[in-house]
Order: sequence, then structure tokens, then C-alpha cells
Amino acid sequence: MNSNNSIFEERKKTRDDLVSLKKPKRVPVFSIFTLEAACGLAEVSVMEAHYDLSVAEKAYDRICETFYSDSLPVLNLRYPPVYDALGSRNWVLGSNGSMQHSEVELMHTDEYDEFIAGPMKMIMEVFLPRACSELDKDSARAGIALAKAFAEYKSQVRNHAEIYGRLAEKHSYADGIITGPLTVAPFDFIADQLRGIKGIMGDIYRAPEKLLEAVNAVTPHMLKLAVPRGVAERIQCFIPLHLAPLINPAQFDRLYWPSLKRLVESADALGVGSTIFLEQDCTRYIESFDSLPDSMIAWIDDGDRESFAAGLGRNHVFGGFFDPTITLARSKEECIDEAKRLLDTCMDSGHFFFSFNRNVMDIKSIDIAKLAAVLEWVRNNAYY
Amino acid sequence: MPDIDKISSLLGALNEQEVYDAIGEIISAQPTGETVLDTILACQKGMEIVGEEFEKGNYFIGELMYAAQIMDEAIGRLKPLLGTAGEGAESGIVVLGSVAGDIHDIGKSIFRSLLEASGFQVVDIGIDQQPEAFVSAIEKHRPHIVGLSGVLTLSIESMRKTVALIEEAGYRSDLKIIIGGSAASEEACFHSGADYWTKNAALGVKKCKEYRSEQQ
Repeated sequence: MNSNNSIFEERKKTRDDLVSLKKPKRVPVFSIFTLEAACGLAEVSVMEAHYDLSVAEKAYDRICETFYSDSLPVLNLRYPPVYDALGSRNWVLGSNGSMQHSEVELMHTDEYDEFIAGPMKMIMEVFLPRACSELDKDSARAGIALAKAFAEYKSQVRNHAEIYGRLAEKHSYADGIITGPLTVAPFDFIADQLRGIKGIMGDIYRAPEKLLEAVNAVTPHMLKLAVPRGVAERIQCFIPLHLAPLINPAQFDRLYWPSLKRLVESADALGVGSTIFLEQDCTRYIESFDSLPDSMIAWIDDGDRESFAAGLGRNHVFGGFFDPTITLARSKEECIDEAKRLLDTCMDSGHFFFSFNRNVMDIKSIDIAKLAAVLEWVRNNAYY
Repeated sequence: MPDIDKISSLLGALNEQEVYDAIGEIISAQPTGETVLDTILACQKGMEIVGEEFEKGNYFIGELMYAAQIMDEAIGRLKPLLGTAGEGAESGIVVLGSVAGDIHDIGKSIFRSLLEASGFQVVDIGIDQQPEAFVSAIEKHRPHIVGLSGVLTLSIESMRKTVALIEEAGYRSDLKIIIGGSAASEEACFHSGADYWTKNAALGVKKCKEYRSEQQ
């Protein structure tokens, strides 16, 4: 076995033990940077990287060379050329080249009934043309635009998979916590993609029954996104939560949670685990998340670490919490101390992975040397 | 004529229709300008109740946003009766925007609604705004406070650049700068050179009021 193989095997065993809820030899490190951060580090244009993937690959490679991780430390979920082909209005490029979601109301309040009766029909025939200028044309031209966008999407997915494969091979990475497709909580889909956040916050009070029906109507479609056809091995889909911490607990229990639970349980039954990103502080919902199948992995932004370790860490893999931006203002030793405190609180169960509270989107939001030192320290010291 | 003060508690309790009904009654009674102003103040007090409940942890962002919608609608119905009398900046002027690279609008809008409810005149310059746009707005409106909003971590560097350009333009010592949104943190505040950071819009408004007391 050469040294690269032995590194890979050690990482794979560590990761596999973690996800099967066996205490690994050490705490795995899953660093996550975006394309924007990679381009910042490599000093190349992110706009160029979006459209020339050889530039993106070199930038990703710089991240891999600079920061320790047991899994591929780069993640790119949105491809601008696809949105260009569609003339997207709800996913747009910011002035710095990052893809961002824009608040657009695609479904009006008086369209709930039609949506509930036929969600896909409304999405395809009404909402997508509102979201995308290229689809808001006669059927022939819209069909061509859709075909072009789909071909671009397939090409992007294939090319990214090849890049990720080469980088994983070169740097001996094991799988991380996200190994499957992206889906979203049904409530978040209605909120973020159709009604807009402002719209949904009114609907919660003015039309909760209709909203609940719409959430339920869209749930099977969110499940389809999570479970790809023809995948033999067990994978972890990714569900980044959005509005859960913004609504009150009674609204969460009634409108948000039941469909999310159904989505996660159904995916689990079909061989797909869920890696859920808990944005902001979701401490108050630990009990709910703990009731999900043990294949659920929680990547946590913020909250009471002790409560998460005690309430969720017994039965589930969990990690996150470490804010990489602290490296801007604190000394290297203070940053490592922060990582130590986090590990002291969370690693006992053996189900903890070390990761950032959020992916790093801008290389200038961190101190490169200090963050690299923290990751190395965790790699070398977080042993059981 | 309904009890104007009751509007505060109705809005504070998020009783949307009852707020509109009460305002409808006031409007149909052909109120004086003073009564209209009192009604607007009652709405502002209602928003203060909402802000207090949020601070206590009884309300969440959803309640803040819903309350802001009710407030906006209520003020929209009252404003035509007021002419320009209600456009003042009795509490102070705030220039507000999402920094370059960040197109998020929601947090900024909540903060704007709460500021306006507290009597501030808010100049909202929009999303994804370059440092130069903030400086232009400062030149034009001479605010007491500047609010920089950002959700993404990449906003931190934009905040730093914006504060630096405000400093370079010679306005820094005349105003206070607050950063807000998910990207805001103690470290981001230190790195950007802002005066205050918060992820909580109600606390941000409180701080603005404190700054105005110090400045006056």
C-alpha cells in the first residue's frame, strides 16, 4: 500500500465509522469552501472560473493544498451558465460573481388552490416562465431554451464530477457528509422559490391552511429531488434549512416540521440519508431532529453546543459550529483554543465531526495561516 | 372615534384586521392632521411592543416581518391624510444598504421598518451596493448613522472596504456605522472598522437611538 492509499484508507475508515455511528479513532475534519473563496485564494476571477472550469479546478486545487480536510473541501451547488440559458430572475450573479437567490414572488396569494391541485403543472406552465425570461416565450422557443439549459446542466454536473474525482484522487480524500443531491424542506420551497419570504410571513397568519396544503402537495417532489434513480450505494442528500429558525415554535410544529420529517423518513426508507444544515440557532428543535432516522447528519451553524451534544449527539452524527471568521481578529493560539473548547464539549459521543459553521465564501473573511493551523491542529490532536 | 392608544396594543398583538378596522374608523371620522400624527405614533408604539416581545424571545423574525407589513399598510392608509407633515426625521437620518456582492434584502427591510417606526428617516440605497454608492448617499443625505447589511461571509470584506472609503472621504468622524445581518459578528465588526454589530434588528434600532442621544 503506498502512502496515498494508506492516507485514503485511514480517512475512509474514520469517515465510515463516523457515519455508521461507531466511534472513529479521531474526529474527522470536513472543511468546506466555495468557488468564490477558492478563486480568492488562487487570485483568479470567479466570473472566469464559472465559465472556464479549468480555472475553477486550479483554484479548487489551491484550497486542497492549503487547508486540511478529510473530504473534498470545495462545494459548488449553482452553475451560472445554466441560469444564463434560462434567463433566470430568481438566481442571479452578485457583482462579485457569487450566485445568489433573489427575493421574487412567483406564486400569488390567489394561486394556492391551483397549485395544490397540480403543483408540477403550475411550476412548469406558470412559475418557471415568471422566473425565467427565456421560458416566458412561445412554446417552441421556451422548449429550445429548456433543452439548452438542461444540456448545460448535464454538462456542468459531469464536468464537476470529473474535477471532484481528480482532486479526490490527487489528495486522497474520503467521502464527506454530502454525497447526494440537493433538496429542500417543503416549507422552504414554497417560501424561498414561490412566495418569497415577505409573502410567506403574511401567509402564515392569513392563510395557514392553504399554506399547509401547498407544503404537503410539494413534499413528494422534494423527495424525488433527494432520491436519484439508479444509485446502488447509500448516499447522503443535502437539505439546507432556511426558515426554521425564523418562525415561532407553534408554526414550526404545524407548518414546517411534519413534511420535513416525512421527507427525511421517506428518503431513509429508499436508502438515502439526509445531511441537514441547521442555519442560525435551532437549539429549540433538538428534540425534533433527534426523532429523525439515525442516518440524519446535522451540520450546525449556531446554538447551544452542550445541548446539541447531549440531545442530538447520542443518536446522530453532528458537527459544525466553528466560525472561521474568528481567525481575522484572534491570535492563532486563541483560535486553536476555541477549537479545543468545541471539541471538549462535543466529541465525547464519538459522533462529532469538525467543520465550519458555514462554508467559507470569501478568502478575505478568514486569516489563511491561522485557519490552516486550526485544521492541522484538529487533525493531529482530536484523537479518542 | 376609536381609542387611538388601543392601536398600539392591537398592532403589538398582531391583530391585523382590527388594526385596519380601527384606522378605517379614524379615517372615516375626517381626522385633523394632529389626530393622524397621533395615530401614526400609536402604530410606532405598537411596533415598539413587537420589538420588545422579540427581544424577550416571545416573538421571532416572522412576527417582526408580519408586524412590519401591518405597519406599512396602516401608514400607507394614513399618509394621504397627512400631506408632507409626517416625513420629518425627528429621530435622525440613517443611510442603509446591503454591501457589494450581497443581494439579500430581507434583514435590511426589517431593520428599515423598525427604524421608520421609531421615527428615523431611512435612505435605503438597495442591495449589492458598492462603497462609492454609500459615500454618494452620505454626501447627499448627511446621515447620522450608516447601516451596512450582509448575509454572506463575503460581505465582511465589502463592509471593510465601505468603512474605509467613508473614512477616506472624510465622513467617518461625523457618523456611526452599524453592521447587521448573518455576516455580522464581533470579528467582522473589528475587521470592518464599524462601531457596532448586531444580528438583531430591534437591538440595532435601540443602538441607533442611543447614538442619537449621544450626538444631540
